[in-house]
Amino acid sequence: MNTEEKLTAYALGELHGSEKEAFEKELSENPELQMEVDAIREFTGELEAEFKSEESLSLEGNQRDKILQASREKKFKLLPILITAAAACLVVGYMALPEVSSSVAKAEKTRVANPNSTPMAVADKIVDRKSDEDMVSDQSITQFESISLEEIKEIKIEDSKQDFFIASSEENEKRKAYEAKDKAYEQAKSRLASSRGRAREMKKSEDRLRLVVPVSPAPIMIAPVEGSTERYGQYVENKFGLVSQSPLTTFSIDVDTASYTNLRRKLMNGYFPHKDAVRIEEMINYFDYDYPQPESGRPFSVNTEVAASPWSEGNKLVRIGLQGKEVKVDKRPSSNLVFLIDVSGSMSSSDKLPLLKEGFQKMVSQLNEKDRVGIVVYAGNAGVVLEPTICDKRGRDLVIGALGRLNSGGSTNGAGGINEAYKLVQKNFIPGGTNRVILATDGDFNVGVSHDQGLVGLVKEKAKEKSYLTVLGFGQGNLNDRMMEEISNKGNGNYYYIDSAKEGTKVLCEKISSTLVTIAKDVKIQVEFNPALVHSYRLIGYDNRKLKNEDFNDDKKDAGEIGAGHNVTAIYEIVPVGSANARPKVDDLKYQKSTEKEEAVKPVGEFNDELLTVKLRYKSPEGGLSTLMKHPVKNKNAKFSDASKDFIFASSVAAFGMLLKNSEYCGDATFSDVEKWITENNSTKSDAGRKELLELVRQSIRMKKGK
Amino acid sequence: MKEDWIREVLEHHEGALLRYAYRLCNDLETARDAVQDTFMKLCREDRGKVESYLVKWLFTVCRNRVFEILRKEKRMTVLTDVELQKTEAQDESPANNAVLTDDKHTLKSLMQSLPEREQEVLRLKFQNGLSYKEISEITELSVTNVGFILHKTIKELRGQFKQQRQTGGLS
Repeated sequence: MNTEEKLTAYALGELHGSEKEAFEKELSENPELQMEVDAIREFTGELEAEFKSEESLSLEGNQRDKILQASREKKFKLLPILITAAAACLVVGYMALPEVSSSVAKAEKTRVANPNSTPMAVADKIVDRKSDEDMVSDQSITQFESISLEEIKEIKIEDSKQDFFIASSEENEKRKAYEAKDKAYEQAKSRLASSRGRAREMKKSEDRLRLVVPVSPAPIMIAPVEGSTERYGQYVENKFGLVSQSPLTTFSIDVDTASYTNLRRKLMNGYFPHKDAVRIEEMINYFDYDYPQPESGRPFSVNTEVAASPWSEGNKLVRIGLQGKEVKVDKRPSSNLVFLIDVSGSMSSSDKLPLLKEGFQKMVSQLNEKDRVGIVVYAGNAGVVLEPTICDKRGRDLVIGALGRLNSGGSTNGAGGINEAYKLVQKNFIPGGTNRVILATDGDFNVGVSHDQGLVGLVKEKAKEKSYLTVLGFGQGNLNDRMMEEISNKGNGNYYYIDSAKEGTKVLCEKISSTLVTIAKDVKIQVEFNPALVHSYRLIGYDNRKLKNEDFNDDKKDAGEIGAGHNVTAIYEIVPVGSANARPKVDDLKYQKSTEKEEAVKPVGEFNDELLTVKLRYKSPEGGLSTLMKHPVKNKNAKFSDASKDFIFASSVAAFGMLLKNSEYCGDATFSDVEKWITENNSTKSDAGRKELLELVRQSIRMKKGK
Repeated sequence: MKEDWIREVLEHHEGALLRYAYRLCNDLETARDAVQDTFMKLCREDRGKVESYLVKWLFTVCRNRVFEILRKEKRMTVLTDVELQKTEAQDESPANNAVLTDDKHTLKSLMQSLPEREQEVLRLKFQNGLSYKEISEITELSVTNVGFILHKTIKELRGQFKQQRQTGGLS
């Protein structure tokens, strides 16, 4: 310890015995030192006062009750049973029992099962793995006993019929699945324990429990970014699929662009975005591509292109582009809009409410006497600020004036407001027109009515009644990205993130017709690959947009909508048959015939020049029955550099997204490669948006170097 | 009676533990869960055994529990200090973006700009009045290291605080 450190230690009363005495002697001879000690004490006094002034926090009442209840209980100990190494190796206790308590036990303990015993008997032999953990273990059992039957149903125990199995290499896959389930139970447990009656908590648990349900598309988990209250869904990236095993792939389109705007903000501020905040399809779809207008009678045209992958030698990229029919602004149907505006305290910063007002005011100035606008605001309470008003000259002024007078303050109760807004839309419903709630918020719904499930359900139900939802996200630090996306998805809506006046103008004015006019809904894409030419494939992005193959023909299954003039682009990376990348990564199986082998697949023999067929299903905005379109794609051996400008640009954006995501699939691509592809491609000159992307790529290069 | 004891401990330490846990994970629900778990564990402990080092015991168990929950939920992400400062600063001043001239607020934002470990040690010392040794046991840092961190942090903060007083608030 040097003198300075000693000084601090002394001031804080951390010197003892002879050390203290010696130092005190030194002090008495040196008034400067004594002054320093006093100064330190004065300052640390301020620190203490500062900490004292912090808002006090407390447990929930029911948590405290639980603790006190536990303090009355007699300690009970489970019979310790020795786990012998051999037993632990031989039999992995991934047994499932119908009782929830056992599922919980599974989450927290290694269970040793005697193969001859019945499942019930095994349950009694729960063994603590480590005494450290007993805090969680016996507690978790008592906690789970208090879970109601309904909640048990929600857990959807899928594995009640599974018996235990001996772990072996070929079971790895299964085991992984079980481990994932265990994880889900574990998370569910820790949440459910304290969440009874707490709606917000319930929802969190459900989100996690979704992991348990094997059929759900990419499992979504709430993953708060530490230190910030922004929340992003956690998406598992699409993997390569073998054509021999699953020749079909199905997904729902997505025209949202919020992810791009959001990551642009992060990069410009000098941070890499959280990887779960990067949704590649939203990056690709932020940009406009030059696809031809559809032939008459069709709501959109389908455009495909094939060229070599620039990041994995031997692989090819297939781009599928949809172009929605343009609708002239004056030809658009009447609209009945209700602005639902979050005016809670958190909205006050300059990148939120002021930006929002400006955007809405610009938008309203473009509306006309066919349109109606109402305004609902919500903070702690919800209220109608402006009854739906016809947007003739006088009406527009009224709306613009009302917007101008909005102020922020108070907490957030999103659910109250949304009910009010839908009520207004319903009251003034225009058949055949655009009936839509436009919600503007920083995504902070966390006060009041159980938001998530209730809210998502409401939005879904209203979509059935043809009242839709557009979500506009503002600001940073508080953004509940996952939820905003989810409610706009369920509401057949779009989700935009607005970070600047420019972006507000783009979404609310320039894109007004596409934002307001839906030309097709429930648009699903299914691709069938030809095993004669394609070994495996991977859809880049759309990680949370996957559908089950059978949902393609199921008109009851909801999917994305496409607005006037929108384009939607999806890129598949494919591994051609016979390519070096097509070699299987595991050895042949000993006891069964591998289905990975190419000879196991019997191509029809015809259509040998076709890589794949794109099938599309869509409904007209008012229709209940879907229309099918088919579009075969011929094989081509084009070089990447020979591909169209749009193809190169979209692929570069995809690679950029994968790099930001730290994806394992971006091959040997680097940020510098992306920069090179985009500059050589030369399509950025006339397009400010593309130029900006190039800047973001360069920014990433600089940031990477700086690290 | 054990219940009375637990009730008393709860009354005395619930707030401090929660604040500590909350700063570790930045999520109130996680913090509450961790604190609840800590007390549940305390209910099963032998009072005579833990009483002599109760505060240290509570903070250690609570800290481990927070990290365990975070680990299980895979929510541990590395956070740059600047980012923390930014979001924190923003959260604290929701209603008005008025310039913060109050000394306390300035000191607060200064503290929030410190690295997480520094903040934690500072909090254990000045909010909970723990000794270097106790802090060292809770955080698994060496005693010397704790002393060094506290010294360095106080020195830095003092310097910045002084400077800000002179220039009149945060720029």
